[in-house]
Amino acid sequence: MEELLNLNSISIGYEGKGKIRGLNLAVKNASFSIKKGEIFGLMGESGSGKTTIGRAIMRMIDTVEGDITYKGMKINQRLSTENKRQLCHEMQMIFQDPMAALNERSKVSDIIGEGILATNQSISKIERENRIDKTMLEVGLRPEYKSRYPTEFSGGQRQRIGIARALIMNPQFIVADEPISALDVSVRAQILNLMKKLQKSRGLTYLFISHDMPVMRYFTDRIAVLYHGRIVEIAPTNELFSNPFHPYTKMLLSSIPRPIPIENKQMEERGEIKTWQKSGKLNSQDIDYGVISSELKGRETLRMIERAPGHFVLERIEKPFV
Amino acid sequence: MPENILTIENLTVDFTVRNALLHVLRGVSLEVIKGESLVIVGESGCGKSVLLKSILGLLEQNAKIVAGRILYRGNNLTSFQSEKDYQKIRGHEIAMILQDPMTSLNPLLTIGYQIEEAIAIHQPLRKVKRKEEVIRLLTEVGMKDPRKTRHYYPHECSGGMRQRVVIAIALACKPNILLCDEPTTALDVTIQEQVLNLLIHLQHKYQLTVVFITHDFGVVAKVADRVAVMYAGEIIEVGTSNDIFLDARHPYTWSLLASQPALYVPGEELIYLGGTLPNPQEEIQGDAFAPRNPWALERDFIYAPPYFKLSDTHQVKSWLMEKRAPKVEPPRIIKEYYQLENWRF
Repeated sequence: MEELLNLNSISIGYEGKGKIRGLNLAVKNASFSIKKGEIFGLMGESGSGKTTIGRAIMRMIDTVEGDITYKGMKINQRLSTENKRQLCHEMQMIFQDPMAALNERSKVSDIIGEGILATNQSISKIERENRIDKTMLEVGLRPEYKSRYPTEFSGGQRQRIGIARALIMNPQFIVADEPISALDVSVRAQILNLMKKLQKSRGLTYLFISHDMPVMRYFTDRIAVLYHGRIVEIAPTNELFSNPFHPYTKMLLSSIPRPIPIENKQMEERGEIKTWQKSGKLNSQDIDYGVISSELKGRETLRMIERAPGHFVLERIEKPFV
Repeated sequence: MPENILTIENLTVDFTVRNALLHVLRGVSLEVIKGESLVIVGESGCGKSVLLKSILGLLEQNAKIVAGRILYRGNNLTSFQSEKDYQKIRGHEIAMILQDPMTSLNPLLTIGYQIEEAIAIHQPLRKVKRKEEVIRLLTEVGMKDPRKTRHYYPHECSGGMRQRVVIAIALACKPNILLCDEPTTALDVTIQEQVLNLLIHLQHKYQLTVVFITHDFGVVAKVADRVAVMYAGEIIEVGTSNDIFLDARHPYTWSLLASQPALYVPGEELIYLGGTLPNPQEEIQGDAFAPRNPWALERDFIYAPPYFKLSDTHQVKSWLMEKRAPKVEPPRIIKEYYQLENWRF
């Protein structure tokens, strides 16, 4: 399969104030590539840099070093107006909180139609309205509702508006930043089904950002696990869940509460439930996993090693003498 | 013989919003057994939080308890008139933990001070003893280095630490019942696991009764002894954890169980429940769930179903349990996952 997007040792940082003055790297040396038509997942805890990577790909924040290439074109630099417009059409984003992402004071048709209005003025009004209607139908909203305001819709419907706004540009690549975590349980399934349907019918490629592991396992083809701004493991989804290598991934997978009553109760009886107290660890942020400080020790370096076909794990290796 | 510590009978709560009357709780009856952990599940907007708030008299100004009783140790909590009455119960007898720890902590005071405040109100202790008690509580909830961390302000703590502090404040008053309103929804999975383990551990240690709200069935399976499923201001199914997971009978419970992606093979289409909750302004004729229920019978639209008792622990509010009703099977996916013990993931 053809490569659509490629990240080559990307680092992204934020300027801090006060105690954390200077550049704080939120993402360190991240590399991965996304193939055309696949659903690539970014998984990690809050603060691990998932959203930062998504936003850097969308050119919403600048990178410190490294290259992001989309269809062979380097995009993390100044681009010509024409190239920017092309990216606008081809890459779109779906946001986490549909309550916050939509302008309460504009009508649904204005929200959905804004993208084509801004990038393609040659389209006539009638044609624009037609495209809005078509897109609304595609995401399961009734076109009659297009003169309503976002506050009149439920959370699930609003997320559909958010998806329609992205789809109307006919994108090929969509960054979905936690698109279902703000939604209610029963609505999540609807939005996931819709996203999957659209992916099939339009041949879309997704970068799916989430911390919800059951959803990741169900929805994605490949997953990259982030910890403290570093990618610690990249593998096909099945492989990752059945055969995790990195200690952090193992810990993460073991902490999912499974929806099975008997088994958890058995675990309790066996006393496994209290192991956290023995280890005395307050929270996972305190554990190094060979990721946070290892590079400072000079002689060692971190590398992604291929442990199984397509399964890469971040490992500490000794530098050879030079 | 299990003893009921809290009994809620036919609790009905109305809200007045812009001159419209909203029926939020429509006759909730629930028994909480001493020492158990009871989990309440349901969609957002079904009245879970209102139920917990009405126990402690924390309802907003525009809410009114129209009917029903909440019995705790011979007292009817709904008959309380003044804040002073509630103050005897709050914290000391029944404590509450909210979803977002940032809203329940004062950002201007150190966490040690806030815990000490709770101790000072409920126990007559000298200042030095109080300090010791603060340190003991912080150790109890798994805070590292409590002598140092008690001087922290809430913003210096991570989400997990804040929730531990809130639990410490709740424990400071030595309550009998702990009400938890989605205490781990705002936390990461790894931190969620730690906080849940802590709650389970404390429950056993202090023989607390825990009432827990969540919509994550993973969490339900982990903490619940009994589960109550709520829909549109009513309890529609109640049973032990095994009753609900392995032998659910209400179509709404099925749809909640079936909406978990964990049950599915990647690529399978997820089953979901269409429609929305009924408008709380309208009077409901018959069963509130009937319009969304694919197995709804004609009688569902006319008469509200009673509770059918399937066993000592398991009760279902659906006409499908009637003798003459047609036999219906739960969705294939639930059967496969739970009954054939074919547990993926």
